[in-house]
Amino acid sequence: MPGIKMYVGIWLGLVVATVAEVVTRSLAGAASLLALIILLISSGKAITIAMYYQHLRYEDKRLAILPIAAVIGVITLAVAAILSMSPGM
Amino acid sequence: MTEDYEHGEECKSSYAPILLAAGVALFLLGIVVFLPLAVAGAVVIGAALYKFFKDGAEEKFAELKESLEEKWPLEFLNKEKLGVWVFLVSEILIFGSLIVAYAYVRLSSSAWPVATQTHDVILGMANTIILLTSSLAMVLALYSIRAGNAKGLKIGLLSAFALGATFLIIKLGVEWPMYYRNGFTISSGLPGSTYFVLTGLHAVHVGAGLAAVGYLIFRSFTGGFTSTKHSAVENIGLYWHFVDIVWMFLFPLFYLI
Amino acid sequence: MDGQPNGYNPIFGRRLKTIVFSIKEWLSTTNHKQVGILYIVTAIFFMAVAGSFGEMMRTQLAVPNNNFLTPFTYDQTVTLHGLLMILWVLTPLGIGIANYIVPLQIGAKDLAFPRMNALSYWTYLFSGILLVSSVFMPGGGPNTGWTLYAPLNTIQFTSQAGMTLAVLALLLFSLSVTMGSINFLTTIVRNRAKGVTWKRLPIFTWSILFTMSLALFAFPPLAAGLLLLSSDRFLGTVFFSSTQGGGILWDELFWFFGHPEVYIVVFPALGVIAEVFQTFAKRPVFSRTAFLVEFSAVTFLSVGVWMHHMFTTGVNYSVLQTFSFTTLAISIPFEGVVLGLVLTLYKGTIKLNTPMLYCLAAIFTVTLGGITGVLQAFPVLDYAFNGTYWIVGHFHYVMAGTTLFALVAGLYYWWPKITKRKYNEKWGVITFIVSFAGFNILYFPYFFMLDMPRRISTYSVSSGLATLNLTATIGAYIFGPAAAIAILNLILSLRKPPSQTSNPWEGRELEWTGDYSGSLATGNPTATAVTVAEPPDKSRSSRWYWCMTGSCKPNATAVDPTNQSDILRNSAGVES
Repeated sequence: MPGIKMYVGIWLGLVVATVAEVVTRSLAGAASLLALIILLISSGKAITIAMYYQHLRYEDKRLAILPIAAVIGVITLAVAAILSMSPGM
Repeated sequence: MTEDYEHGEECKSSYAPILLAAGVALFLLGIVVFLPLAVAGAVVIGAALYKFFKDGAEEKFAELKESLEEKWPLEFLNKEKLGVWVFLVSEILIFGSLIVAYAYVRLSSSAWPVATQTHDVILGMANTIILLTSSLAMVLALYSIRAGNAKGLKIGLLSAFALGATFLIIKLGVEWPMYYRNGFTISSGLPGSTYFVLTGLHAVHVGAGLAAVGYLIFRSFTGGFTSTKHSAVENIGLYWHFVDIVWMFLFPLFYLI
Repeated sequence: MDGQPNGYNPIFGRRLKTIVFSIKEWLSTTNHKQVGILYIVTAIFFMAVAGSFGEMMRTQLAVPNNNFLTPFTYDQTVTLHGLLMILWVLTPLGIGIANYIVPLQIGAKDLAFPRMNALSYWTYLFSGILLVSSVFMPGGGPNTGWTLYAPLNTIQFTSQAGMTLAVLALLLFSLSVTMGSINFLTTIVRNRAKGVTWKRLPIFTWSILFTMSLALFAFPPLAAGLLLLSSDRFLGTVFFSSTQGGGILWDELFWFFGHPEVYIVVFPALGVIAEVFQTFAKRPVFSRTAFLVEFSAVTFLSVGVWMHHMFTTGVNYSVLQTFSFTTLAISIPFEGVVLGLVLTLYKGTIKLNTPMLYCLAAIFTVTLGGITGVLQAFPVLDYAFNGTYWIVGHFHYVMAGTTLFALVAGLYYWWPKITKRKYNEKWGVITFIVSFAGFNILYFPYFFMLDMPRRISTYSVSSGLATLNLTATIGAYIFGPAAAIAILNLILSLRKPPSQTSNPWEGRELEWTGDYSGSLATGNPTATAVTVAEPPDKSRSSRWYWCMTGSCKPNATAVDPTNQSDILRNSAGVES
């Protein structure tokens, strides 16, 4: 189990990542590329919170199957719905 | 062999479920038909929740240990924690579906306003950090009570509550009125609709979380938690961190992209 | 509860004081058996309501140009009939039976979260009351069909407040089922008694595990769609009326829920069929591991087939082709499950009593319904089928046929366990034959009505549909009353004093153990030692004997399932 230093260190990293997201926004570059980078950073933040604050890193690995399955379900919906938008008959 | 049951069946009956269900139904009926009914419903909901919390505080429904149980897999998990994680699966799916809906309408739109023009990015970032800090406070509260430090628990819980409340106050009291004044409202078009519906649902979840943390604070001050008995702190913490995780996505999706 | 005399009759002949105390007991119960009974009774009540709506619809459609119901009334009737039957009848009937039986099958004292279980029930009841009351509101209730398609579901096209109330009722119902799924999943994972390993888990409990996993996944997207719809109807948003969202957005969210929902409806039925076949053919389910693997495959795949409900929407065709493929793929393990059930009967000593007959009928209807479903998996064919009575025939065969027949079989099968009484077997068989005949006369014609669109309230003489419609209506007039009498058979059995004191069917699963002297609410039956007869067929049954009864080996001694050391002794060296 983590100690106080680890928890605070994680928090610091999360704050820095948040600032990084905001900074990325104002960089020059294709909007979609920047959006992808920002969302990758957010995913990293989310996974970090799940692993260290929700202690998934320290729990039985099989517990993680639950949120991972849910995320896969959401991705299925997202991919199919968005792909179906493109015209093509 | 009735000595199987140390609790009589009488312990297990409760009017809280029917009360809560009736209150919610009354509330929903009220907002369609007649607003005072909704107010009555809200009152009934409050009474039912109070009953639920009171039963929890008096540990009336504390689980009988079923000593001989099949536990594989997930042997080291108590059933409340498993229940919370299963609940979080449903939460991932509802927020995920709403985010997919947002992506769908946005990608179908030929024009979408630039995020910096409709949202105050710095305020949003500050609010994000506030919510992150409340998560830190929550996990430090758990860390404290694990080590038997009741004072640390109280400080952590109170800080988490205060920071969460600040998040809501900034969002509901500062940000939203500002956006409304600028004409960016829930019905001003899809950009506004998606923002307010998603962050609104998130705010409701933060509010529910605050109620739960408030219950923890009450219990911590009446000596309800020890270094070995504090599963509620961990379980409500799991929910609180999840609410934070959702915001990790909502913030960039609406304020940055 | 304690203090009641033996032969205490739950329905007839009670004094007012006992009735009042009874009401208080039922209003505040969290006991899984009582909550299960509440679910079943309420589901039967809603079935009477929705069934009457069905009879009204068939009356309207009996002859061309009929004016028994106005078009608007007809539309509300068909909407309520669909919503009630799928969500407030079939789903809760399965949940109610599961509530009663699953803890008994896994040796648990109750579900994992008893108060949340009661909350799930009361939320279900009140949501149903809200839905039915929507019809009485000024402007009427929802008239969009149960699928509530967009943009028809927006204020612009369906302005009545009753529609909004129905949407909120559905939202409340989603919460009820989500809470129930959390409860059942936690229970089945955590509350199994020692000795109830995954390999020994009864098939019905497995089916509930799969059902609840799907429910956990399926209802939140529905809730999301309903939230967006509520926002449209209350707050002036345009999710479902704009061209950027609109009909397809609703379809994606609704059918992502809607397809798993039909499996949520049918899985408990398949579980019941397995239990009934095992008991009345005295055989274990055929190739249990393969059966469960196929069942899980159907569960996983069901999350990836939903766009077969959207073949005619005109979205990207390659995506639709992918879903056509996944739909065909899911039919393979599904057929494996049905085949496994049928093969369970092979070389068994078959007893054709009422539950068995209903389950055999359920197999017949799932075969017919399934074949028609596979044909619909081809977009090219679905262009002809979609929106016609072919589809109506297909889903009534699997829902009113397989699901309803199997769940009724479950009620008949477990009736002696739940009420300690025996229904009238002769009338059981008679009503089965009549209702099965009526069912087929009612629904088989639908497969010939490809020219008749769904949900229309009348048709012309020149359409040539009169004969088929009249036939179907006659079938409805036979099926409905027969179904009612089938339920009446069960209710009237309560007039007799309790008489079932042992395992009348020689069922092998754990729910049949225990003496019956405990009344409904005083916890689960206190198990006494169960003696088991010699297995009739040593070759396959030897693997089936569930080890809590201590007879995994043919000459094993009886075991007391509440004696912990007995259980440990038996689970230790026993083959699994």
